[in-house]
Amino acid sequence: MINEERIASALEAAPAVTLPPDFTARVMSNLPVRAALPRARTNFGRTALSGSLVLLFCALLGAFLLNSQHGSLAATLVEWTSLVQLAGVTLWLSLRSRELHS
Amino acid sequence: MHPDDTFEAVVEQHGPMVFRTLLRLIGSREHLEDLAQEVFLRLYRALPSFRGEALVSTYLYRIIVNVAQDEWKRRSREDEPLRSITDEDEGWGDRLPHPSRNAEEQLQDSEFAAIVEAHLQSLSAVERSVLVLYHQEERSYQQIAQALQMPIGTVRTHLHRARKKLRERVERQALQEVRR
Repeated sequence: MINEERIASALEAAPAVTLPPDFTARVMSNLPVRAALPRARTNFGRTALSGSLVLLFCALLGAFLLNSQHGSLAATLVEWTSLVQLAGVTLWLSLRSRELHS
Repeated sequence: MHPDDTFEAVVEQHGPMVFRTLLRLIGSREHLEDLAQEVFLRLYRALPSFRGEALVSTYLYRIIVNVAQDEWKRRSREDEPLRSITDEDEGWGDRLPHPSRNAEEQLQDSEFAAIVEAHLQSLSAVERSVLVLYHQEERSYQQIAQALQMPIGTVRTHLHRARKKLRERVERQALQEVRR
């Protein structure tokens, strides 16, 4: 009978291998040139931001005109809300701009 | 660091493992370097989709087994006879040095290793892969299962069957030699 351990030890013995000295260099020279990922710049965020600011400014202007002609509570509310929003956006943009340039 | 610098380090680190595993799986030093290059080329191509759930080594074992399978298919198509790795000059028989043992015992060991090697090549692709990964590379059942993409239970079954077949074939040859 063949000793099972003897077979196992024959299997466990790894064959002697010697890597060719320039193997790594050859592998590296044969690697395909990886094409740079197409990264087209998009300005969706900036466009949306500009559009929203224009809308907000128009709303503020409309509310100001309406309030100066009729002086209703609703127009005052819209005017102040728009003003606060515009001030908030301006503050946020100026802080973000400082972060990006620091 | 440039990504290619990292890949160069991977080649340096895993090169010996790739060579010895491929050598054991294909049973010949012929085209060994080309096949090892193919392994790293496939790894490089697969890197963008490598999400790091597995170790690079486990991923590499999977690629090695695939490359070896392609080589077996190519050889069977070309009807290329397998040459034992003991035929080569690079001292396969010297890999188990036992300074305390006498020359006859060492010769017996190297002959026995050659017999085991020859019968290893007669096993099926998956049985050979499981045996090599478990015994030579000392991978766990889980790592083998990941590398071969099969359940752990299937790995155990293949391992058990492969050991049994190998033992029976080695025993059969030993009996035949005794009768001569």
